[in-house]
Amino acid sequence: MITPVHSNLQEAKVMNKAKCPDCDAELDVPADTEKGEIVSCPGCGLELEVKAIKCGCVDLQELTIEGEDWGE
Amino acid sequence: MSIALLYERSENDENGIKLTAQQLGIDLTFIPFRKIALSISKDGFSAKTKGKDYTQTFHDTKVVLNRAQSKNRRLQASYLMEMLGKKTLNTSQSEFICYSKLRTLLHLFKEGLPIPKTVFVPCDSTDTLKNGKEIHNEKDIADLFEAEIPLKEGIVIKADAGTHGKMIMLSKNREELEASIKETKSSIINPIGVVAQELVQKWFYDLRIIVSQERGKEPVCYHTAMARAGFKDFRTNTFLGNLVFHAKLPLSIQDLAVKCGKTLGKGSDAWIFALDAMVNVGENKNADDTYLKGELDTAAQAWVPVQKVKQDETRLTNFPTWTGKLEAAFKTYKSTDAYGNVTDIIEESIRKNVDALVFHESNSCPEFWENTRLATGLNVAIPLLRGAQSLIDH
Ligand SMILES: Nc1ncnc2c1ncn2[C@@H]1O[C@H](COP(=O)(O)OP(=O)(O)OP(=O)(O)O)[C@@H](O)[C@H]1O
Ligand SMILES: [Mg+2]
Ligand SMILES: [Zn+2]
Repeated sequence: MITPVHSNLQEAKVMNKAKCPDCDAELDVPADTEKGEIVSCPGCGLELEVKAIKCGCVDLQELTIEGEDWGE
Repeated sequence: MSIALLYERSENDENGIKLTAQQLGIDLTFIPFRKIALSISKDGFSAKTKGKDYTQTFHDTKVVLNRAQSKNRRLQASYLMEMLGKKTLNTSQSEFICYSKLRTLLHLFKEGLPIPKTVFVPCDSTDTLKNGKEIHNEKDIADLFEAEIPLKEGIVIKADAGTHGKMIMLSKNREELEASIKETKSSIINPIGVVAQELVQKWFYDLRIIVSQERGKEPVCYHTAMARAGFKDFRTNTFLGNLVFHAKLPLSIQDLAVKCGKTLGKGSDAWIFALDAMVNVGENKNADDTYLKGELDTAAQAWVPVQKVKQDETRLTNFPTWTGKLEAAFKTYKSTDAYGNVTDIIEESIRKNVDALVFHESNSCPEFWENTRLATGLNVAIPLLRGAQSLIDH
């Protein structure tokens, strides 16, 4: 009987590394993530937009949002 | 024991506070107040995001600089932190007052400080019956307002907790008044009731005045205010395309502002507020409108490069460099003749109408990095951080 080396190949997602621009936490961004997708930083919870993916390097940028009761 | 910057998103002001803290050699910790589980149980308190445990950070915090952008989140944050035994800047008490324009005005009124005549009707413009039918109260509310404020002089309807000029509506006839009242339907920025105010004849500008107190020191008013000016709209909010200038404040106004601060900060050892005020200039003008409009138009052209830098995305990638660019653009704007001429007119107008100033709101978490700091020369982050430090030292 042959056991496949990577029996869980289907589930194992390839991850790219990225850094949160706000709190510097390391993020694992799935390799199939596309430009424009929104990911969330596990460290500070910030929502980030994928700006560019270049050879395994992911560029993240803070989203500009504004709530109804945001004010001084 | 440390100072924590509590925030939802790091915008320019929060980045400015971080940068200033570095320059002053003040250590800050950071508490993101968004996707974080704040839990209380018989086992105590914990604070965790999906990837990080902030419980120790909370434990080690003595003073919280509350910079949550949402008014409701800010109120909840200061209350929570105080219940955990932290000092807050500003306190939940001050946040609670400043949250509402009416509550702010009530406090100033009680101290005999000058405010615009303000009328509050507790009922909402529309009531919904159990069967889904609606009752309209606009006409009754309009009658109540008209009995207090002459409509022909203008009535301003305001969302009590609104910001950035949202839901600030001017009516000069009955039709407009009823329509404005109808607009104020109950919402997060106007939970209940309707607020109306006399129209202050403020000519073309209003003022933002910074007052602060450090523990163990006398409260202070910064000697120079920011003026927001323009003829575009009766609202002078900068995001509506108005320009900013600086204006030296007469001592009597500084004294009044300090009194406002003391009232709003009552019960706390350190506080900071940006007070918004208008001068009821009426017909007591010291320049010709046509000339003034010309100068404002010229200043508006000099303002374009500043606006360009503000929109520059490098602020997200390299904040210190972007700040340098903004400062340079602002300096050029301020060095124009038009800027100087308008500033002179505003300063003279304030001096001539010194007794006609009214305070209409107080901001407990002011924006400052882009406009106030560069117009007035006061980096608000400094009194903010010094205030926090004073709460630690004692
Ligand atoms: N009673 C009034 N008379 C004349 N102008 C007014 C009056 N109330 C408000 N305004 C103008 O409208 C602008 C916005 O009103 P206000 O400051 O009350 O609310 P806001 O700007 O939405 O709140 P915030 O300053 O917290 O963002 C003021 O800066 C002022 O120019
Ligand atoms: Mg205002
Ligand atoms: Zn983060």
